[in-house]
Amino acid sequence: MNFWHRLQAIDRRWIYLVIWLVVMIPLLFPFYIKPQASPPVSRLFNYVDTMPEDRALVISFDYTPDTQAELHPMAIALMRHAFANKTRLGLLTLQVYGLGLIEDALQQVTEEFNS
Amino acid sequence: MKRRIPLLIVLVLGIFGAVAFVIPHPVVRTVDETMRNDVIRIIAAFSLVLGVGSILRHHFIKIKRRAEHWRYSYITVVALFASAVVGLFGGIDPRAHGILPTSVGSFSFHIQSIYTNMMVPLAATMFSLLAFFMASAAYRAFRARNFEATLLLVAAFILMLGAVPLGRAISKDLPSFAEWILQVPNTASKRGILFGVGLGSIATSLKIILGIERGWLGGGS
Repeated sequence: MNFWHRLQAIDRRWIYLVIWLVVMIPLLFPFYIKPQASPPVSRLFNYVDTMPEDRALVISFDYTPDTQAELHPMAIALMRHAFANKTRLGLLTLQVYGLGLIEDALQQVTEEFNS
Repeated sequence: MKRRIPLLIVLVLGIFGAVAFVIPHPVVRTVDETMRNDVIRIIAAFSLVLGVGSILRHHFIKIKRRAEHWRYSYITVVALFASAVVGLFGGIDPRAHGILPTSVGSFSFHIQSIYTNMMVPLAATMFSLLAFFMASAAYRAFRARNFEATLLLVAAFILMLGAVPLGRAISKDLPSFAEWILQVPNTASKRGILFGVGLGSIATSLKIILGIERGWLGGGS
């Protein structure tokens, strides 16, 4: 059995250990990475920034709580941008779970801007 | 007769639903809108009753027969009733009170609190556990066995690297290249798959409308 075959036959618990370490190390020893806007993010930012006043921005919350950690901050950031620009905003969802996420995001952003 | 009437309804409404798109007559448009907006809602209300009845029946039978993992069925049934009672009588959120007392101490009983305090952590936990299995499966699946698998491996590697700040630190063009992979070859193949799915859906719909496929009628005589 050569090296590559041995690497393929590795026990799954070693993979779990690597994932656990990848999650735990930044959690216990946080380090700062300067985020860089990717091309689609820059385009979206510029689009919201240059939107005509008579247009409304509609955000679709078509995700579920299991991916909330990944997608909710993006939706909230987009809402903050729209609130800051006083852009008319519409929130919609085609999923039952999206309603709770909209409620949560709306409450958070309105509280930030009202305080 | 028991089978002919449903088949006839499906045939007539199925053909009507398809041809309504190409007939701009006001009568056809009005009937089509009524069918799509009102009739579908009525059917959905019935399907809700059917769904709740079906899930309760399934779990009650499981408990009665002491089937595998039958104890978990109690959790499903209790959770179903608790959510329904809170949703129907406890209100939607702190601003929309229901007829039940909506708070005990600092905890408010409404559907949003169930969602935030139970649904969100449970779903996040499930997905977090899945991440370990996904990583293990991806490790085994991404093997450079042949040309296609190697292509998949390289594309996945570039995309992952292009999505994190480290990718930009390696090369400024890497995020753009990752985006190109996502927008051009990925979109092209996704569209191809969607065309296939669309054609398959049309073929299956035609089989149902014409009564060739009768599985939806259920078994028995």
